[in-house]
Amino acid sequence: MVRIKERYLLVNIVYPPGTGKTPQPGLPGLVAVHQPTSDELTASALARAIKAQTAELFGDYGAGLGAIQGS
Amino acid sequence: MASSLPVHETSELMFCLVKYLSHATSTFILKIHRAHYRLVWAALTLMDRVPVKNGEPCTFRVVRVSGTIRKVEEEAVRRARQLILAAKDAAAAQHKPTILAARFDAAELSKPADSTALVVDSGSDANDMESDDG
Repeated sequence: MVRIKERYLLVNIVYPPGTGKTPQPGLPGLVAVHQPTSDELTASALARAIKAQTAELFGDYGAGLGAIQGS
Repeated sequence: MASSLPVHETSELMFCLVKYLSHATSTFILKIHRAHYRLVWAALTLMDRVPVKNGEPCTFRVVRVSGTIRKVEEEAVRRARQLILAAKDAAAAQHKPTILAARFDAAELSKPADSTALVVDSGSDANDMESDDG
């Protein structure tokens, strides 16, 4: 019996000041950095984007290595 | 809207699985094979937009790597709680800052410039440390 070893990554999406749209004035900087993400973002879109980025960085090799066995 | 999205796509070979995605806290949890999680981490680091149409510029920050999803969840909750407290503090500071701040500003202005350099006794600290070691 072989167990598949995994890692779980906790990721925050942060919006550093000066990069995007300016939030409403009066909002503390901390809150602006951690503002909510748009609801259009879906899990599958996210996974696809990460896969695309990995493929871009590491080629087909990377795109293959990032795969896990579906559970 | 904080939606937990269990993704049960049954494709045999999947790229990193998104186990949890919360829009309200801009947080998500990925499940990746242990040998290759650094690849995904690197990819996340170099992504600079929310992957939607006309996505805003953003940064993906990996804040915790763990072998169990339980610890990752605990960390997510801890961080969310901390953020709320910090935001409350910031809001409080923003709305009634001024009594102390005004005092300090006045003190700064009335102080002569050369009194700011203050030498604290420099003689004995080093010796104390040495004797503590011995």
